[in-house]
Amino acid sequence: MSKITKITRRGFLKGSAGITASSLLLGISVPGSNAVASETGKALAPSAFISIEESGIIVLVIPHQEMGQGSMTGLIQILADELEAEWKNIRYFQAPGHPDYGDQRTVGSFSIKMRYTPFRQAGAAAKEMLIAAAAKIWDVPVAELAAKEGAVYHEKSGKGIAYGRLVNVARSLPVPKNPKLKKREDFNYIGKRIMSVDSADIVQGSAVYGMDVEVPGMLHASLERSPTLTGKILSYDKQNALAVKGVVDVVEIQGNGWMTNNAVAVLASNNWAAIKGRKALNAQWESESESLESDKAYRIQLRELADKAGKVERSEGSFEIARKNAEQVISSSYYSPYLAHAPLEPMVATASVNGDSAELWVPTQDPQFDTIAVAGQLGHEPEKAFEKVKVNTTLVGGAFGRKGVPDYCMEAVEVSKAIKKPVKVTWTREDEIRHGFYRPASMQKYEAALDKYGYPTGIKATSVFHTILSTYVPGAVDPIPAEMGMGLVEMPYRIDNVQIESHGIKSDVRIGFLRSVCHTFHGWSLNNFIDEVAHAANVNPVEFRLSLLGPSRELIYHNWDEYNPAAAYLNYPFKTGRLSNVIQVAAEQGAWGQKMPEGHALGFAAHKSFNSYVAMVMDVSIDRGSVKVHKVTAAVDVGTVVNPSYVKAQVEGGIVFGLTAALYGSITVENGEVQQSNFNDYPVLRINEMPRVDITLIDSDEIPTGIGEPGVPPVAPALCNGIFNLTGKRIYELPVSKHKFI
Amino acid sequence: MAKSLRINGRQYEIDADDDTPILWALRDIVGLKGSKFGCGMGLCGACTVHLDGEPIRSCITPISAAMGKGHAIITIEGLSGEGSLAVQQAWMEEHVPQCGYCQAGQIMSAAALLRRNKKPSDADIDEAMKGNICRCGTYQRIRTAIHRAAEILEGA
Ligand code: FES
Ligand code: FES
Repeated sequence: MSKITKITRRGFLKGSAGITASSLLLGISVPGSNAVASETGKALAPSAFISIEESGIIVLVIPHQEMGQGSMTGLIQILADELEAEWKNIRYFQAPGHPDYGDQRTVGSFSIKMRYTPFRQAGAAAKEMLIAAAAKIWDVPVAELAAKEGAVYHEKSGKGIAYGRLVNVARSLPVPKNPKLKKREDFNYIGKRIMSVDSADIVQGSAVYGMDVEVPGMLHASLERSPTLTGKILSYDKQNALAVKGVVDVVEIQGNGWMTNNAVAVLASNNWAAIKGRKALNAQWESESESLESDKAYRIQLRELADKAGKVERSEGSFEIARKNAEQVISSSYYSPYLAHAPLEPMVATASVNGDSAELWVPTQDPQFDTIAVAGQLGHEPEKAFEKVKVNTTLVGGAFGRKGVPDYCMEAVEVSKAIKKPVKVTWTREDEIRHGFYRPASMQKYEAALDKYGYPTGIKATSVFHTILSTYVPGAVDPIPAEMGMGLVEMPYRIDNVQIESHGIKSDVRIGFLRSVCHTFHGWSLNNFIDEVAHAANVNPVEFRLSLLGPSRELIYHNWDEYNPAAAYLNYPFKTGRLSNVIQVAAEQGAWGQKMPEGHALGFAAHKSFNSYVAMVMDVSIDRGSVKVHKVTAAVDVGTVVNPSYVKAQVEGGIVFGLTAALYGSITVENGEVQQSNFNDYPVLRINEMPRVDITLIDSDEIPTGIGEPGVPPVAPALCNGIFNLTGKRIYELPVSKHKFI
Repeated sequence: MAKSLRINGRQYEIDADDDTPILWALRDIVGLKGSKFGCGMGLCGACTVHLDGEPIRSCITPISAAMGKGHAIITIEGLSGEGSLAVQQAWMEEHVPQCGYCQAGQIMSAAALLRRNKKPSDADIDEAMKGNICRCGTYQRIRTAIHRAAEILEGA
């Protein structure tokens, strides 16, 4: 497959490689709806569009961001397939933040899921218009024509005409209301192993990330932030910083007390000088009251709350009666710590403020939110935001949820405002680890009532954590249904008496979305507990799960879907049969039940998240006191697979991310300050710890669902269940590295 | 006083303190942004370049270590020769990059490995590559791609 090229916005608007007055333009006016609008002439403002040049070049505008999850390539495959475009003639353009593109968030594993049908319709509509144009030119019936690789053919006469030559006529034709979509067996890009569109640039070092942005006249800034959320500066040595070669200015920045901290910014001609100048500041911060959060006390508080009656999130039958009548009752609590994202590209933002307007260049998961947040800072209502602020997007060097929050954009805007110049604010790794929006620390307590056959007649779960809603609504504390839904309230097991409760607990660090969100702790604790119950019942944990799932059913828990924009047009019930299926396939492929070599054991877990189903078998051993993972066998059902290579890549990456969290991940807080700083005390998995990963994709006709996140949740429980099978020791607190094994 | 650095076969005069890490000289002064910043402490390998043929962490190596006669820096932008091209080709064939941010450093380390070891085992690869973090988790494909690059070179 040949390389296709990304074009810059400038190139795009100038029409050098993009829109010219004579191109055929198609926009999808409302993402997720079937409405397709045709426009001719200069660039319009559609949400996603296809532009076909007279030269035959096809420009696709992609509203989502590429951050390693491969959806840029997947979305292009989807558009190009129905369009019957020739791969080498495709150019693509990553859209800046604008409401016309529909929901541009690159979150919740939903880019492919949300755009699949509308993008196919857009591609198909454009193709039908080109075919109709050929029919008109040749005066033959449409039915006798077919499109293939960028041209329309008339088989009878053997004639063919390239798309570019049809543009002029096609522009004046009506847009088909219900374009016919291709049959699965006719796909030529969807389902194929196609190299990601950025790869060639990446391996040559020419891909442009947020870190690589350069705008004329810009200064570099490094910010010394208050170690706690609202800490105030006591003193700093401005002259000492200014004495560093390259440093040109030092300014104080006010935090907004919620998303951003108070800070002192050192400005310099290069980032090293800014960092060096920042050290020379010798900044001292007012020590805050002793009452701020500390790790030990917080854990005790979590545990106490988990033991108390909480807000009821789901209640069926009576767990209390089930418990009274039980032959056996099992109870366990599970603690998961805070986690930081640590994308390899730390936070970075370039901003240029001009009066009451601003332009930014950022690696972001949510350019629209950034725009609105920055506009608010400059005193504009959201309605005015997109007139006053423009957020340009770059390739994203990893994000995992961290780059969906606008704090780093807002800081850069504050600095640019203060110095009246464009500025690039580059975070050090220490800044990124210490000033994150963390996966909340949490506790889940479970109780199960078993009958005399060992079958659970009742289950109770209480989950305690600080809501991620607090990212957007200052002061919010209690978990919301969307969070409780993830992996817990939507529990799919056939148990008559179910009681699920929640508690909020305030934390003194910022809380945020981290890859797989609440599925990480709910998926871990529930899968562990089910394993415990299976052992108590003396049943093979795989068999046990299958019997709890029973015959295939479709369950609908709105708790998560309400917050999931992709669900606005498509409903995704929990299909328990799909979970059972991945459980069976993983167990078979991973040879569950086989006799393991001395010192090895297998662990099992299965979880549905973001509408995709994943099961894993993990082969573990203990090597000189620490846990070693040898092999992970996964079965994955994401519905229709758009690009098998990158679906697998996301599962491989999800396993690494999950193992990093389970083995090492722990952010601790003392008196409101984060204790970790860099990869020395916040380690991540390295290549010498990489297990062999073997993935089976389930072939399916279902609509494609996401895979950026679903690979993560089964990892920690499969690991911990394996450790139990090996050592008899249950892990009730993560990370695993805190435990001693002999 | 300006300092002289040889980078990718060209001479550059740089006006910066001696302790300026090569990484920041490359990125912000010379304007070669292929080498990435990931940790600033020699822990992640995103900044790996070759100094006199050896892979180094440019975030903790000051320009003073590379100044003057006899020293030469090669960055991802200046990689050339069969071995390097084989690595880049293998990286594309095996679909290694996810976000890609670590990959310049990975490729620099891999190219150096293949130069001294034409047929590395998995263990050799792990040893040579464990200083390079990939937060996206592309390790399995990096192993495969290094084997593939060795194969390409053998056939060449
Ligand atoms: S940036 Fe140099 S090793 Fe991480
Ligand atoms: S590909 Fe993203 S860090 Fe390696």
